[in-house]
Amino acid sequence: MTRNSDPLFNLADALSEDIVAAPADVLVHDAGSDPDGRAGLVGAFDRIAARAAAQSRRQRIVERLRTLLHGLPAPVGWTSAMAGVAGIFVLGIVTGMHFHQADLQIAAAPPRVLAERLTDKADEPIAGARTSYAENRSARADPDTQSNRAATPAAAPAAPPPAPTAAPPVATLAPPPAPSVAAGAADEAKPVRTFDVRPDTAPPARAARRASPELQPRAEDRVAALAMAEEQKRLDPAPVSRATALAPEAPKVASRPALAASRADSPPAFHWPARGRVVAGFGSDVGGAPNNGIDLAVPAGTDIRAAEEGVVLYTGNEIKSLGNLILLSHRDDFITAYGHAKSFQVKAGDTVRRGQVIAKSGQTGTAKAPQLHFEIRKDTTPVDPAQYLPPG
Amino acid sequence: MTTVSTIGISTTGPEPAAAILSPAEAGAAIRSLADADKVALLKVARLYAKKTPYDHEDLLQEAICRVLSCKRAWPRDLAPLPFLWGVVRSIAWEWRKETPDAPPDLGDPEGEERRAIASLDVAKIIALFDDDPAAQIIVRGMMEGARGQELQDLSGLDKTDYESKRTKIRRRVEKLWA
Repeated sequence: MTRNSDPLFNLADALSEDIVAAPADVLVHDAGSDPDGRAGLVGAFDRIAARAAAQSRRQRIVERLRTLLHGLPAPVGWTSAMAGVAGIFVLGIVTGMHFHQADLQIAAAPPRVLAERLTDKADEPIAGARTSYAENRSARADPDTQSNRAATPAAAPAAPPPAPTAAPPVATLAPPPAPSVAAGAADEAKPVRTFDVRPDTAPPARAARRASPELQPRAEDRVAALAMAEEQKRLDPAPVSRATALAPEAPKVASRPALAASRADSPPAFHWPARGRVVAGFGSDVGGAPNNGIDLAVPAGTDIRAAEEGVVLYTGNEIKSLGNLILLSHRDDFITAYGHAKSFQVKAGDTVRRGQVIAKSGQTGTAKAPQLHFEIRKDTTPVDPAQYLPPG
Repeated sequence: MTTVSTIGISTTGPEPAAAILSPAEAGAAIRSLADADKVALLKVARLYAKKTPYDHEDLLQEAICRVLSCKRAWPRDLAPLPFLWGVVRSIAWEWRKETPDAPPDLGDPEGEERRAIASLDVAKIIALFDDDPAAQIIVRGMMEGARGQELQDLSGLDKTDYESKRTKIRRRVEKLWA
């Protein structure tokens, strides 16, 4: 660590070195006497990591959408964005440009699909990623193993690590030393902790969803824009956002990441938001465009219930065709939309349970009869609710 | 990696892994952390958060978020704990509450206040070891930036006693700042 003139920072450096170098069993033992306890500390870390992951995902989506839209003449709506991309595509064909097949598919896709694909690439599923680090760490918890740790070649990386020049503070950290160095070093020589993460391939579920017919843009795609805007508001990635970027996470108990941490291993289990006949299915022609969700015929004033626990992202009527609209944000980046409501029973920022009444049904927007327009979106891409709802 | 044989046939071998982890790999590595490492990172964040206006959860969240957002490149061969420690440290340095080195400036009451608070914090930690002069010497040395053999020489202790003192210091300070 680099010395500096701040005594407390120097002290933090020195003690951190001790913490990082401490054997696993000592750390775990010490954690037992911590006010939060071992389980409390580990749980706190998991919650923080879940919040950070959700924050990072949302930031990446927003940034990619921004990047995408910056390439188009401003101001643009979604419809004009589609037209712009399609125009470029047609021009390319006419002038004899040769697209690679995959590029062609992407070029022809509407921005929301492109954004989703870009997100998928950066957020490649990792459930199957293997790591030997935790195993190494567990093995080291054994006192015998620890005593031999410095001299155990298996604990050292296979190759000397590169100088971490990309991250200045990291550069001050001694990279994992070779065993011979570790054995002969002075008391400051730190134990080697290695890990091996291997990239994995996308799980079939996501690929299957991606293979479903892409929908053409329509007015309701503003749901996606609206959701993004609300997410962006919550994140506030502005330059002055150091405090504010943290602030939106303040309701930690009720926040989306906290929900993500609660049952991260299982996908959301959506329930029907109301009982009623499906009058327009997913992808069906609604006013010349495919339906991004399903429409249920329900009497006016019927309770509309949250399909899954989540946080209210938006309540309002800015999308004229959908009338009074509620957006709920769920874990695993799912969003549900409830349109044509008569009145709201919740407000933005509220945490809702599955089955909680969030609105009363109505006939707002362009609905010709009392009905509920219900959508499920993964990130901002509409998915067929039938895939997620129990048989009705 | 593509190689061309002497008979002109190209063979394609496995592509070399990127030098840095992808966001997905970084996420997997973070999720795979052992409990001890999670505890260690929380404790490290607690230590550094004392120098920032934010709490340790904010500090750690920001660190993980930057890693997952690729704002901080994670060299493939760097283990998670040292790497994340470095990220936490650099963010703490970025966010730190500046303690002015210059003499008190009557026109800067805020700076003077920060200086006074910092002095109090230092005094509080030194006072923690009033019952153990050797530990106090080590703490002072740590605060001045001394490390390793230099610090041990300063304490005048043998290696075993010195390590024992460091553990004691760490536990007491952690308790104070928990």
